[in-house]
Amino acid sequence: MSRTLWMREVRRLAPFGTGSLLWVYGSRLAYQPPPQGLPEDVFLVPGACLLAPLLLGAISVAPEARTGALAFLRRQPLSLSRQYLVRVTAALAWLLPSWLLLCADSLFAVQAPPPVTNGGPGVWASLWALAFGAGLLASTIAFEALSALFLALAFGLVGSGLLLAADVLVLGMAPLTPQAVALAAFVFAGSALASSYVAFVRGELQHRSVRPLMLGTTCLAGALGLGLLGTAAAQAYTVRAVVAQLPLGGDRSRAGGRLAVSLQGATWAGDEDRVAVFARGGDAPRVLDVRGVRRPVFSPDGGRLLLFDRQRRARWLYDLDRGARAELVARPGTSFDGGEVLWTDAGPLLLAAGSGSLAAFDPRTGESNLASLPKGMRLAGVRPGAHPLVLHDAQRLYAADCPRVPARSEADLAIEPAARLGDGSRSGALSHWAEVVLSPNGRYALCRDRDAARPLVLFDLVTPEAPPRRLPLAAPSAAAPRAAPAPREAVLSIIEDGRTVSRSVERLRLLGTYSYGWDPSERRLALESPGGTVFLFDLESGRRAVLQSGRRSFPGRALAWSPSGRILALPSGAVVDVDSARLLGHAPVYAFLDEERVLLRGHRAAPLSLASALAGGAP
Amino acid sequence: MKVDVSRKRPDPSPASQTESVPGPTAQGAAPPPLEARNLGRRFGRRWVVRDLSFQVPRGSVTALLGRNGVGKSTTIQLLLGLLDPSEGEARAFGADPRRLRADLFRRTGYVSERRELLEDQSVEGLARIVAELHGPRFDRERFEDLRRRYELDPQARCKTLSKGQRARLLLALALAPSPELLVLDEPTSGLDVLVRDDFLAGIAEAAAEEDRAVLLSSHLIDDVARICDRAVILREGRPPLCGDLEALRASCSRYLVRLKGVLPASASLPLPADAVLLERDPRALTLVAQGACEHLEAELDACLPVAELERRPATLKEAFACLSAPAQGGAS
Repeated sequence: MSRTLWMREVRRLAPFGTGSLLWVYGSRLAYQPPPQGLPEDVFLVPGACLLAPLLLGAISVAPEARTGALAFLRRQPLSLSRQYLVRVTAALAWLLPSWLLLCADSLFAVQAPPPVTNGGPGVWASLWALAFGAGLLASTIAFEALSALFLALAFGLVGSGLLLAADVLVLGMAPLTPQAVALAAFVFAGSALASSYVAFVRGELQHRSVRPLMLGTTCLAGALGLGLLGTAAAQAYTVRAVVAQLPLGGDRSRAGGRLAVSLQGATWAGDEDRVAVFARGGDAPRVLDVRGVRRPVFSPDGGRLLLFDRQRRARWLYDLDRGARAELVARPGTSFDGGEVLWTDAGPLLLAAGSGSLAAFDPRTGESNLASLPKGMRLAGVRPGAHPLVLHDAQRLYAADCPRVPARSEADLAIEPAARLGDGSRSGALSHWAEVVLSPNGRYALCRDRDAARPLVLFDLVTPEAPPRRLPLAAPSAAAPRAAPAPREAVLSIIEDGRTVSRSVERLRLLGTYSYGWDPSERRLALESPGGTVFLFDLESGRRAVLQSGRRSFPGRALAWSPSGRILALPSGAVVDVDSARLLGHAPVYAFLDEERVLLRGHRAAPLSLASALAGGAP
Repeated sequence: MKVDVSRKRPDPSPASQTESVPGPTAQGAAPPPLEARNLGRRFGRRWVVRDLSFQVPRGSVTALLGRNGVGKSTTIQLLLGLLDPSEGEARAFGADPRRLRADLFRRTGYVSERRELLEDQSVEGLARIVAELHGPRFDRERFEDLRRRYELDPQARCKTLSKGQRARLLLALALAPSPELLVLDEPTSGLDVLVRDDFLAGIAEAAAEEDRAVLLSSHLIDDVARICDRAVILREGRPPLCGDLEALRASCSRYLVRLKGVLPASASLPLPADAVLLERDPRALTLVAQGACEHLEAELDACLPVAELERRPATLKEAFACLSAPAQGGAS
């Protein structure tokens, strides 16, 4: 490749390349997600960013045809392939910095989020290639820069529109995301490059002809077909394939019969947000046929799953038995975006807590009720039995009933004075910003004030008159086992038990920067401090033990108990016999789906949360 | 530097005025630099060039002649592989020019009719690019000599060059690698007389060097007459003529026909098929015609009231007017 010619091409593209850099940088600066309203994945800004490669592609060839440079170079001892290579690589040399500018947050001093939050460098690279390929094809077919730009826009819009629409029209996917067709974009871009090469080499640059256009159209039609096939193939993922590729998080139904795993990551087909469901017994594990969903939450009976649609900021209610899904429509002024979603045991009610209000839904009828929390109140959680809601203010914990659906009238949630569950005014553990979590059966409430370095405080909700207990997190004794670093292939992966292939996870359990886990009987509580020290509290006797002294924390992983309450899996990956405080090993780790034992093998990607437990015996 | 541009080079092939492909050249097995074999090209339904067969032998300066729109530039592009033929084949150095591509232009200097350059480059920068593309064949000293001779500023941007300067720059760039074949497409059109003389001198010098073949497309007969020894005449709707320039000229005669009486301006002239009318006034006609004199004179006597017929050799310009006429004939 001629270095002088390449440098000349780089210089020629310099104004456009610099403009692209400024354009991308400006787009990033200008983009600020609104607090509410428009979804964060507004396509406007990514679309604007895609103009950069589109423009560079469009001006790669067309202006040179107009000025005669193309004809001049054709009469030099330079093969067309090399000339094409010079043009493409010079344009790519300018595209690379703008792509880095878009993707590499470390290069930025500004706190601007990327325009597409889940569009990683791979996704952007594919979209970059798509736009550049469309521009290059148009530039080869057209003879002037302006017409090439318009043609490129048409190619890009039609191509990406067809690719995206294919998801919905052909595959019935919901929702529609550009990330899901990253592979298709790559195929499209490759085809655009190939057809532009054909047009460049075979096209008669001095004589207008429809042949390059026909060649390009044929190639692009083929690319669309391949893109569809690629997306369709991705849709037909098996659980085994998905589990092997994606990191996970998830939820287990309270009855223990089902396990929902949230799978997120980039596959060859693009960014995936899928949910897989594992069931005990004969049911084969499966990946739900909805895309772009995460945060699965089981209904109390385990028959339905609440899914969060990250693209539309909506909630789907998925009936696992019937395979049907229904969208829960938020009332005006409410949102499903933030807040924790809780099911109650009392009835088919679903509560969405956020911004000082509770939204109650009847999933069968779709009717809802919006109730405001009393001033200064926050929702702590939901527990079984009467008065399922647990709320708190800066001083006390309270019990309350769920709002009725349908509502007779919209009113504040009534709090009876007699429903006081605990007084934290003396302990100082409660404040308006305190974080309160309930034990699984609602017996205890664990509180920590976010704003102060105060100790954790435990409230006994069954005996409200009992004073709250402080949980001292002192330095560990020297005799405690040391936390070993996590195995290289860390915590979780495929689960095999005989012929069953499944996978088990626990919901992320974190309290501020503390990981915690209740044993099944709620008699003992394991706590991991931010330093990585794991404490075991016997809540009846008040004894405390240090299971592991920490020098390193493992954020994002939780403590997990075996069903027998004897074995505890630590965030470091270590497995400990609680009774003897003996370290049993690290990996593999077993988890439990009721009494069914499942094996957790190493996973290359870091899990979102998780650890699991071992029920006796050697792993 | 004074150059005798009127010098004629020896004709490498026998003088001919046939419409057939010339036979093998004196070089024996060496293929001619350019060769057309029943070459044809059409755009849509319109045939621009058809049944074109000729050679450009080494050591010759061949003129490609024809009226406007007859397909001279298209022929050159076909011969250099810049266009795909619709029928027949083009050969460059014995091979398909489309396959040779880079190698062909390593051995060929080409000055195009449109005089395209890299507009954003300076003269020096453009020479640097071309030199890198040609490699060691590109003689920088020779280019510098030519540049100085053609009075080209090395720092001048190509987009600021005049038409004549562009032509001279292209010629310098084409000659610097010492090509075996020089193809010039209307190189002197639009140039003033002085520049044209200088330009032609350069071409003549280049043609005299080594065993170089030159193909010159032009509609300026004076230029052709100064430096060419062979010619290919493209004709609309008729097979092209190919042969020695002098023989082509000698094949035509000029006739001054004095008429009996006065010929109205609107009267039609039933001229012989091979005759082309050059001038017309009420009492006389000037014709140029190709073919046997006796036969033509008899035809003229039969179709016109001839008082006196005067015949003399045609000039090259007159011969070109006759030989390049479309198939119908008679029009000037």
